[in-house]
Amino acid sequence: MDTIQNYKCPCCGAPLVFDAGSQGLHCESCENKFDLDTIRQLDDAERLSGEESKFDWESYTPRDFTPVNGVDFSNYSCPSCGAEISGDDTMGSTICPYCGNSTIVKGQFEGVLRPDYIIPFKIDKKTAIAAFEADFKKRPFLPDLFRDKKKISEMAGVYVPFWMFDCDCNANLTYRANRTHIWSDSDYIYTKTDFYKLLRSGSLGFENIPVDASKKADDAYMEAIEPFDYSDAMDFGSAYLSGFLADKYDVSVEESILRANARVRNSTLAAFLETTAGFQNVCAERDNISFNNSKIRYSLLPVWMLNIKYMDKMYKFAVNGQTGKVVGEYPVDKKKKWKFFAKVAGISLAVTLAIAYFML
Amino acid sequence: MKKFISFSLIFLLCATFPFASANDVPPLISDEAGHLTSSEETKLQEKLQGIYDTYGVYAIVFTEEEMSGISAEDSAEDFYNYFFSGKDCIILYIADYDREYALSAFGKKGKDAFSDDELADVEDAILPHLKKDNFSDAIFAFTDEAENILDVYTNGSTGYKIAVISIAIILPFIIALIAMLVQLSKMKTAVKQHYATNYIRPGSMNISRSLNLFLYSVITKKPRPKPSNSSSGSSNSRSGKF
Ligand SMILES: [Zn+2]
Ligand SMILES: [Zn+2]
Repeated sequence: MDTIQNYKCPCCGAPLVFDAGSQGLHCESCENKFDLDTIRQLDDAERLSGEESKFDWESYTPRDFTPVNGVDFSNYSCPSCGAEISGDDTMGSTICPYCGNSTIVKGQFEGVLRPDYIIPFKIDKKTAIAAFEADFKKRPFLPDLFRDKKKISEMAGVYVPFWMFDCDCNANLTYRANRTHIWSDSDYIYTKTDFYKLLRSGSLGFENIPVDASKKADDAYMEAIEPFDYSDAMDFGSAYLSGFLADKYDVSVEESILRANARVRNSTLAAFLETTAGFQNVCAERDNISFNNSKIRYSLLPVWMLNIKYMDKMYKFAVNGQTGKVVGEYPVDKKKKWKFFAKVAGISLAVTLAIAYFML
Repeated sequence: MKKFISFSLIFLLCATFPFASANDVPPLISDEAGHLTSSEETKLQEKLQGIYDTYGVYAIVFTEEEMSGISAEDSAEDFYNYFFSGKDCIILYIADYDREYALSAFGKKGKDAFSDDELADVEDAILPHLKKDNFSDAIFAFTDEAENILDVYTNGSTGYKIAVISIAIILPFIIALIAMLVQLSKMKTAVKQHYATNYIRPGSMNISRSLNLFLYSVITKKPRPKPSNSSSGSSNSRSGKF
């Protein structure tokens, strides 16, 4: 059996020695015995999971996108934030949906690019405003003066460009884990801890992960208004754009893919971790995740945007134009915040002092 | 003759238990071995009486030169049964010729205040003095330690008091801070998503390998906690040689 490689003890790292008597491997340092087959599988899995994670670019071919023709669009650029957006001429005065600036100017640049598909606006402006006002009421420390009917009416509907990713994710993972058994006799409590190495390999498919393709749209907002319902996705038709603004991508596929991969990776790790149920102290040791069969599509998704200025600061809000989900960052009334703190602290102080009185 | 016998009996009692017949207070000190000078005895008497007045537990010192054929613990118990039956007591018994001592607590409150741990504390306080034959030091160390323990038992330890009060004051602010941060987090709903779990193609998870390789075992053992001597017996006591 001189073909045996130099395997290392999974327990202490010392070299393992072949023991002809038991036909197994033996560690002279920690005196554990291992099955040859177990060690071979372990070695194999560790080699796989130790490889570098990679994204398979071969299945992705860069594409060109053509401008939408035959529609009377005006193109505007915002001198304040630099956004370049398009809208049909029926819209009259326009405010920049990304920064709230009202002095946007007509510009000469290429307009909307034809997407692979579009999810049309499902809720109108009135419904979106109602959704925002309902959301508003749920926020605890909102300044009383923040509410501004006129500003709220400036909510604008924008088709925001997204890259949609599909991919299969292949994962090779190893975990350290243990199981404990506790029993006792009349004198002692015994704890037996069995140490395991868990090997998992498999794949998981993802579909339609949206990644914001506009630099001006805040990634956090665009991820927070998820999810969209893709059963409403349509082949693109320019009629969907009338009455709304539209943006075009200025974040490359290559940049966006990193964001999608980070989320795919986290979800894959979480999904595989669930397969280790029944073990304790599961600790991921190595992971190798690669992406293949990737497909990337370009789409326009409907978002209502709103900017409200309060105390010299612009507060941004976004409403999912399909589901009505509201996200944003509200201003905080410091007085209300500390009043709340004082109230909670006061009530709990009364309770804890009463308890302390009975304990002493 | 009768008169003489009764007189000598009284005399004997007076000599042995000097306070037994002097007034109605039972003897808190019975120093048969004579370890204490009379001024020490007066001082000790005041202390022991003070302990009783403050805490309602008798601290008692009983010394013999030689043991009378029964164990140290039994001697302490006999003394208790004779003079203090049914009362709350902590008794220090010392027999210097046999170099034996016993610490016994009686009565509900006595046994509550002096459980095994407290008796061990008292033992730690007196043993160094006994080993050097400093009997009066040992007796005063016993008195001081017993007083400390009764004080903690009655009023709670100062460390405990400080802990309770500071927790009672700090905890509400921590609660309020957490509650405020929870409310504050509702003010910002535009946050990034870390997962793509919504986008997993249903049924697409395919596990090609799932192996749980057993490596090795470790067994540890620790002694079972002994059921503590419940105070259901007539006394809690500790005894030994010095
Ligand atoms: Zn080893
Ligand atoms: Zn702008």
